[in-house]
Amino acid sequence: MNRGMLLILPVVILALLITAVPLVNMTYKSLQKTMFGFGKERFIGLENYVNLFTKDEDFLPSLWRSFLWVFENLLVQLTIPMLIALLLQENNLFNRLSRTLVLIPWILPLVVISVVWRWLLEPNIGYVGYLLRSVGLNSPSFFGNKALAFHTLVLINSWHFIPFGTILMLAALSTVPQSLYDAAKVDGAGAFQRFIYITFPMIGRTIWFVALLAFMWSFNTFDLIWLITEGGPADSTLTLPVYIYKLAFKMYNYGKASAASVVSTLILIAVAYAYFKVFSPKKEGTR
Amino acid sequence: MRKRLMKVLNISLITLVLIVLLFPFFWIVDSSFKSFAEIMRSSPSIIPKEPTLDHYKFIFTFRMASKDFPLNIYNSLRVSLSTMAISTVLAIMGGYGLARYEFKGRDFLSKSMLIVYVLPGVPLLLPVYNLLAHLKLVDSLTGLVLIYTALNTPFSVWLLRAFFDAIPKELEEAASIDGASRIQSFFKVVLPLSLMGIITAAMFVFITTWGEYTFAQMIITSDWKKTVSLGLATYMTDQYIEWGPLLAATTIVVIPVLVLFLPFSGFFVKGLASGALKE
Amino acid sequence: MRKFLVALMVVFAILSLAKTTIVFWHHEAPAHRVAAFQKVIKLFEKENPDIKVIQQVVPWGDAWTKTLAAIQSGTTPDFQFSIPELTITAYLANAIVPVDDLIKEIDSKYKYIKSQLAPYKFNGHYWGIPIWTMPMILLYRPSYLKKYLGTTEPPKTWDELLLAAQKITLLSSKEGETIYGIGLTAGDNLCTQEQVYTIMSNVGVKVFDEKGNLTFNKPETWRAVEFYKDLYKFSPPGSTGWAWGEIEMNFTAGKIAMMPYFGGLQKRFYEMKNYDLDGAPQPYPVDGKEANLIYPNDVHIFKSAVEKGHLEAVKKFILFMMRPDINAILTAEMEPGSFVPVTEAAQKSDQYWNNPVIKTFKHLNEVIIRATNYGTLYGFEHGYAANLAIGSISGANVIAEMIQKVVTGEMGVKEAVKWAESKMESFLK
Repeated sequence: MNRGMLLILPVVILALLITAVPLVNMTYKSLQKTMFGFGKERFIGLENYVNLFTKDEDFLPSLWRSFLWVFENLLVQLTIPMLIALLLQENNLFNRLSRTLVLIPWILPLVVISVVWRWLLEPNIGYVGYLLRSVGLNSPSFFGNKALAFHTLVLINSWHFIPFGTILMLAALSTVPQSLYDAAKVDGAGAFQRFIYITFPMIGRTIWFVALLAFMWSFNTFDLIWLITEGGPADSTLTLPVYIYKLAFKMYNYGKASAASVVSTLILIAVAYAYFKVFSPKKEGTR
Repeated sequence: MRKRLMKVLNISLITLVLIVLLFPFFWIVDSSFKSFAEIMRSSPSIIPKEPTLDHYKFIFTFRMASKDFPLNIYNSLRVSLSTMAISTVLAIMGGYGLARYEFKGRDFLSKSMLIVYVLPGVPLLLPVYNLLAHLKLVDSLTGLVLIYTALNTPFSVWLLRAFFDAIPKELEEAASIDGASRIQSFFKVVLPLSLMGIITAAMFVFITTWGEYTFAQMIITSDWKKTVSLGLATYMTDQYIEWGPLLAATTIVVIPVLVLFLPFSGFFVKGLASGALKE
Repeated sequence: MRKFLVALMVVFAILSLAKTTIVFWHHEAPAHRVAAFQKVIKLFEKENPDIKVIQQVVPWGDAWTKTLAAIQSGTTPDFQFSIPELTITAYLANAIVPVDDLIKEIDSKYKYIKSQLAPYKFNGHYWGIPIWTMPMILLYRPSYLKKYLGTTEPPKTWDELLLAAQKITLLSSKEGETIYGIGLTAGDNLCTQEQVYTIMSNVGVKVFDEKGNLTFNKPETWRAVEFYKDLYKFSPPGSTGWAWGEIEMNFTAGKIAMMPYFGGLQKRFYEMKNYDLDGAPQPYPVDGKEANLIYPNDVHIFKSAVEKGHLEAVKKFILFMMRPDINAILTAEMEPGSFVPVTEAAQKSDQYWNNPVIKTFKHLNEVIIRATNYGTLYGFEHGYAANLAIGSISGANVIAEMIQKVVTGEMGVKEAVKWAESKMESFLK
């Protein structure tokens, strides 16, 4: 065996342990009628899948909502960190300090985030409501309003991700050689032009990579949504992972939940595959 | 003149961004010094009316087998630091192996390091629990470290591979001409040059494991083994949230990470710049 | 002397070998509840030096996943605290033992309040032992009633309740204050289901008939939902996103005058030295009946306890917890007004009534104790579980979702009830 393979082996084993075992288990269970050993397990072929796509009134909507969720999250998580990174680009003491402070939302434990945001955004006693009232506005019901709950959650989820996104963007910006900017300045290009013609093309690939990570993370967001709205009001925040949880642990339909998980995994694998097909260098060693 | 104006504008914009981003955290810290009655007021004030340290006293003095915040911190430190150490060593090995040796399927392996992000977390729970039960590692911190290592190392490998790629092979070869073995030249040449990447990878692992909840709640049951996020969860139940202790404990939980971060945050940016983003 | 010492050591050795360690899970994470459990354990171990008891806290939010995982992998504790839905789950997973003998023994010693046993009887046996119960009553702020209604008498009928809620909301806003007459939630959670069901129980809504067939889509259900919708107009905005936490904060902050709720807030009020709190039986329509939701909490025993030979020790501990003086610790001390005794003996015990919090809100607690007799729980209206699908129906929050659809205007009342019944139908298979 090649020594390189030997070196990577432990990681591969660990990764397989935590992905392959559940994956096989999941696929197997998705072909069974099974409810956590309540009664006998029975092989039913693809019935769970057929049911999901034809009979289940929550599955397709939740899948669609998941795509919407990813789309909105990406929109926020790519633009705002970019803007913040541009502001923090210059290396001085104030910016260095700010770069550290910006990380705080990312290191707050998720269990606390949910409960604190629920508190802050509670219309009658939360601080945000208080601020709105003090300028003569009525606080909307952020989590109680069907039209609002989804977007509020997107913002909270993004708030949590912004630090990491900012750091990645900052890192990307730092790879652009200063000489290019200097040359452009000599040519009389303004800040905006410099961004469009130099920065953007240079870090485009990075942005796509950040987009891939953000896609996978937000597609699988569960805790935050579950802890704040449990998928409500009236299913308006019921994304696929939340629905899978409800199927498995609230309705005990483990077979169907496994089928939905397999679908979700296939989608993400397809996305990752497409990403590498489009962006990956064709040949090794070109760097 | 214009430049100066831009600078002022820049600083004030950053300040505004920071205020918005940090307000929830500020509110947590601020309220942790308020009495319960004041926390519950519907017209709150920024400055605590009667500042109190009661909540802090409470979380450090209410120590009972099943509720022990200092012990939670100790457990979390143990778990996060061990995961960090093990995972970083494995990632250095793996990243180096991928970067320096040619073998079949190398490219595929490298890409599939992202696979752990593909699986939804919820269906992982039961199989992972079953697996640990087979290994007799349920309700043990070792089991938790194992799962965290498995979940986090692939990303670190990804990150470090790019680092090792960036170090010219010629440097290592030069060292071995001087009579150093491969291992020696690795420690002398490669390691120092990629230190930044290694610190980045290690910090990444520390942060993601420090506040992790979902797997911890599944695996740990014994009260004396609970980590900080599990400890925090005991301050809030459906019908009774102990706001004061919860906020005080959250403040304390964030501090170790900040302390770790402050000196290294610059590294983090640079590390990612020359690591992960190279792809 | 030496012989004696040796003998003593042998005895000790045998004793320590014979010492049984039993482990139980409960889901009451707040510090004072954990402390109350520890107190009971200490007293028990003093009386039974051969048994060691360990409590482990699994927060409610994780209880289902953990229980199912433990059952699958054979890592269950000896017994655990629970509610009907969780006990049904454990029963369906074939993981617990029947406890008819314990029920009988406790009943003969301390006399169970009959209504509390219903949710734990299925397929002819008892599977859970009620330890305490949570009755819902009408909780209110006397000072608000006095100020806006000019009376100290709380409403007794639905009409009076609606009128009072309306009056308080409108009059207070005229004075530039925002106080809402009633606190009702319509979130996607259990809290909402509990409140809705309290209203439903007043007109005798039944989820199943005696044989377990659905009887939900009926005129009395429409009537209850309609009333909830009317009343909801005088509840704070935003309560479509609420669960327990939010409604409690709002009531504590003085934004709500009345609400169907558990009595547990009295501890907070007591600590804040605020005595503006009282309770009344849940109002019901003139042609309805006095009724309210009860949520008995039980203990179920896992098969693993039998396999390990821990059954006798477990039974001893459970009997100990039901002793009126001990039960007072688990109720009055643990969460006064929210956790209420389930036996006549414990309800009358001095230890219960001498608790400082219980004493302070004496009238409120008398109302609560009385309410245990009139309580029911959805799906268990016939004194037993007519259909075990109620576990998943409750877990999926069908009733809460139905109310959300109504108050957000997505569906009409009859349409929503019909939707709920068809949703329930899908769980029956």
